[in-house]
Amino acid sequence: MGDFITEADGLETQEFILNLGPQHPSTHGVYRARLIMDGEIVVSAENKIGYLHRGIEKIAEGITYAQFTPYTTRFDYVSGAMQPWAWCLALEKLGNTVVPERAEYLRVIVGELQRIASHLVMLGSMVLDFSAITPWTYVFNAREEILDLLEAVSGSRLLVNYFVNGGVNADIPEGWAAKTEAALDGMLKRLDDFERMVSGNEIFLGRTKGIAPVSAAEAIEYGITGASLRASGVDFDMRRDSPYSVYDRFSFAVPVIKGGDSFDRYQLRVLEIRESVKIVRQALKTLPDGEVRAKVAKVWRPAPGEAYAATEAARGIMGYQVVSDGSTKPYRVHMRSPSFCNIGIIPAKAPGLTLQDFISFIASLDFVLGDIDR
Amino acid sequence: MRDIAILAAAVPGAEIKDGILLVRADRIVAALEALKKLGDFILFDISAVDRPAKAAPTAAAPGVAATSVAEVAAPEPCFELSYRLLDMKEKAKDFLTVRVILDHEAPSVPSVIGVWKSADVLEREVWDLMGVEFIGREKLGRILLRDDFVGHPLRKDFVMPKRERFLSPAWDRKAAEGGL
Repeated sequence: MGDFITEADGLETQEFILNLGPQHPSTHGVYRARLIMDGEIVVSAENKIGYLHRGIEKIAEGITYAQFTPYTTRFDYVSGAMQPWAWCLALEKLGNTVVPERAEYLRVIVGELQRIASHLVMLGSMVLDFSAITPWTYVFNAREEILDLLEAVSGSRLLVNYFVNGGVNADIPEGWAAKTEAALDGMLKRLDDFERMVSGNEIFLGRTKGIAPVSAAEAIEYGITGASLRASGVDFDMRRDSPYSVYDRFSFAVPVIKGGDSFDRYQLRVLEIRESVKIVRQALKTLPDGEVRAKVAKVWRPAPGEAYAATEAARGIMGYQVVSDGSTKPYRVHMRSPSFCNIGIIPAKAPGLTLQDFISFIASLDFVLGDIDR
Repeated sequence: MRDIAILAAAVPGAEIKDGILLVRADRIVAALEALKKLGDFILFDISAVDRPAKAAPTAAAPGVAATSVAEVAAPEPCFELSYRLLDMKEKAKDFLTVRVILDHEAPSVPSVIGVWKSADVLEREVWDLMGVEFIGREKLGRILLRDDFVGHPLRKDFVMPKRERFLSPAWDRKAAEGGL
């Protein structure tokens, strides 16, 4: 044709600002990235967060310890059941409460089921960002069955208030263990189907392989934790290396991948689901009898002091600092949320990516805005 | 976690108190650099506690029975700033806490962003909610709150403002004109 205008004709190109979000389906919530673009290429990125900030640390100072427990499920609403774990551990340290063994096992079972459900959401929504709708229906179908199990033990599906200071809320209903085994079988079958559709798919590989590789040194430097850290080749999992609860009684592998690109972060979650299934099965097999809740006073006043506890939540290390002044209300509560720290690397890795690769990058980091903004 | 006495020996000017490394505020960068040199640490949390004049005192470290109030009573109002490090070298049951005590009037501390980049978002959060200044770094803007927010809400002297209406100026005009 020959009549295209090119830069050789004296036409200058210009960088422009692009606001990705806060109302964009690919940002998985009210996350906004302020991108400076050169055509299709990201020149710089800035995280804009806080749209969902509810001041929960401040709210905690005005209510009692027990009243705050349900709030903890509201941060990372995709893995609600395992969110109060670190909070309860901190309270148990503060009050020197010994959790009954059966309760510890039930926590592990429910926590790992929730981790599976959370990773399934990540897998589904990541491929959904690449416009693949069918695989998404497969994993959400599998997740439904797990949510049914959580509903059976706690009464709620999404914001599961099962963990309490001193144990768990209630024992599992009759026949629940068998149902869980069956649901896990069904889930694994669906996961296999999902993998057959996605893991070797040329479009998926093209969108994820080699995108935003994070080296082990970078991951440590930026304080990334959880699956994204292990996808960068750092062999660290709190469940194995700093075992809380009864994790040291189960044998499970900690999958580690060296590459650190978007595909590896995806692949690692698939591997982790299979390991979580092993943990749940072992825990169900060896579930001891007994109480599920230690005796904790209704009006609970821990001695003045401070406790810090952390757990390996679905997205990384979830930590709670609880400071008591001896009254019924916490003096100060600080939470370290994994998503908040994991997105710190986005401005460093975004330059040079195309916009579609940027979407692939943030989808693979798997953050939840309730967890970031608190 | 590695033995805290050995760690304390490697950190210039650190003293151990209730299983916590206490460091003077102007030495925090050197302290964290020394720890980073030892290897296998991740800085994964920074948090501040406001302790105005009549505050409850700090007590024991996690898992340890709390000591009596008189023993640990903070003599002066202060901000406690805690850096939490994860020891990846040895099978740990706990985390290393490095703590600095800051002046209550004008809390400020050198930024450790040059040591660990993970400090970036964490320091911004502490400034945003608690108002602790970090010196030697560029942007300390609001991160969770609105840009025009006044004050630092997690301070104990923060007075909760009356419930604000988050509506558009056009809506406000309409309300002022009695159109609602």
